[in-house]
Amino acid sequence: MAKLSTIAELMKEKQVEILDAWLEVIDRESGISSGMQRTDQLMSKEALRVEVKSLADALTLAFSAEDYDNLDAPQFEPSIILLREISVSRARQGFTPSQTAMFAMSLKSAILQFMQQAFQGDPIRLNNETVKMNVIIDRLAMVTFEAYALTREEVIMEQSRSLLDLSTPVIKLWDGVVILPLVGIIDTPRSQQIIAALLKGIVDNQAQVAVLDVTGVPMMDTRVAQHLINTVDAARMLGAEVVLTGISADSAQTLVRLNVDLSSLRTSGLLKNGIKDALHIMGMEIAPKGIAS
Amino acid sequence: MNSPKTANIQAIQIAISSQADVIACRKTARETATAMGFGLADQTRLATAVSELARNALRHAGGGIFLVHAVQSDGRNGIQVLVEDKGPGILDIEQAMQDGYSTDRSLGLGLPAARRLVHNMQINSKPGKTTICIDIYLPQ
Amino acid sequence: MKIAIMKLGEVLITALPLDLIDEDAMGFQTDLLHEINLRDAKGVVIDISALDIVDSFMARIINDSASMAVLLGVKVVVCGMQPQVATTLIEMGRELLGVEAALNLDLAMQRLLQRIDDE
Repeated sequence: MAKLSTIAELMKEKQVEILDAWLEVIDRESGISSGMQRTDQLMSKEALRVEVKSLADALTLAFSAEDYDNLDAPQFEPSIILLREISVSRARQGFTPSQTAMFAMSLKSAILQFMQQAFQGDPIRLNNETVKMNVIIDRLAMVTFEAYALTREEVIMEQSRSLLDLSTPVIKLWDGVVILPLVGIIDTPRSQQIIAALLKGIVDNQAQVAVLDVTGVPMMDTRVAQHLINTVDAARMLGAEVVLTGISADSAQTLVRLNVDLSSLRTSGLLKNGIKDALHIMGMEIAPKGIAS
Repeated sequence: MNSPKTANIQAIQIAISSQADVIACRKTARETATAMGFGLADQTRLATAVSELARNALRHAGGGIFLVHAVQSDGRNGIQVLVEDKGPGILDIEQAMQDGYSTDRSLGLGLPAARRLVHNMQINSKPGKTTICIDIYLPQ
Repeated sequence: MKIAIMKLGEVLITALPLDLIDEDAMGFQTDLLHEINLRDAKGVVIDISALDIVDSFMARIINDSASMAVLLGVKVVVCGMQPQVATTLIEMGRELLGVEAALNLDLAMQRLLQRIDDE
């Protein structure tokens, strides 16, 4: 074996072996936490190998840096760019933060045995190169984590925006009847959005009855009740009656204990009965085939 | 950060001395809101609040001045409306902001109603000069 | 400006115009009540679909006119309120409008005739 003097040289010399050892560590580590999907379930072995190979090349360049205290050095640029890309794609694919951080960190345990072999008999060099490797990988892991966290934040923002739009669909149930299933927490901005969506749905469909289903609303309290009363009043001013359905047994208990008066509203527990009420207001009924009156 | 939308909005002043002027004020407020990209609901909120304030100035002070202009606060673009009159003033602002209060039994919902439609309302009042200022902002 | 009040069968039909000034709104209230007695009407439909702003004064005029008409023994339905007007009224204080409402003139007539028949 040729005499090696730096970790960068070692990475080049033992490229294939280090790559195999690294993949093995990734495979082992990824299955440790229970309940999370293994890395190999989220991406194919081949794709992982290609990713690890290009990262190993970038890191070889990073290890060649003299001044490794400063991530601004040009040698770090390919590693940083690559790790950011990897983090962003992992955050979007649903990898956990530890899986993502582990990806870079796992090189440490993979490469250590090769370093011990290569620098055998030169403890000072082994020590210096190990410190260098640790510092560089730790800093790059921070980059990874930052990119991951930023992407997750973006994903959450996108989701909450689309959830707000998605969660107020006004559906035409029958001629003159619309239904609005509410899902999620109802606060003031959301209630304004609900009122706007419901009124638009009523006018667009020329609906005389609207069924407001709150099965998907997790918590009923004085405030939520007031928002619902406002919604019903707004619809009434347009000339539409509102049937409120999906009130759970828990909610009924809470509302009465809080002294919330919903007696001015038409309410029912089951959506089924609400639909029946709505059709009744329209002068219709659901009857078995052949015996409709 | 000055968006082109805000930069193109001109301040407009209207002297309120008749019912027709009250209608001109709310039309102008709505047009300014439309030009700045406010949605139909916010346009209606602002125009309705302006209607309350302009009518108050006409009724209680025989007239006044209306001014609308673009504002920015915390990086958000908005519209500010000022209505000023030389009337007797509001003696007790806190009382005037309560539902059902009115000096001439007209309705007594004007001020508190206007307050609920906008993001911010400020009242400065003394005999001979009352200034009411309302702001409404675009969603972030 | 005088607001037209039309008679169709036993029902008076009227539509409030855009940008009505206060004096004309009060004049409308007086005219409507006189017409009810004069023409022996059983119902009234007030179409407000043209109104893009209903402030507290206008809401009061509509509410009061309806209550006064009810005193004269007629049924009243207000129709065609714009959605953003409803939103604004709710936010201003929701007691402002307590009149029976309908989406459009067709449904208002249907509802009114039904209620006149019920008596």
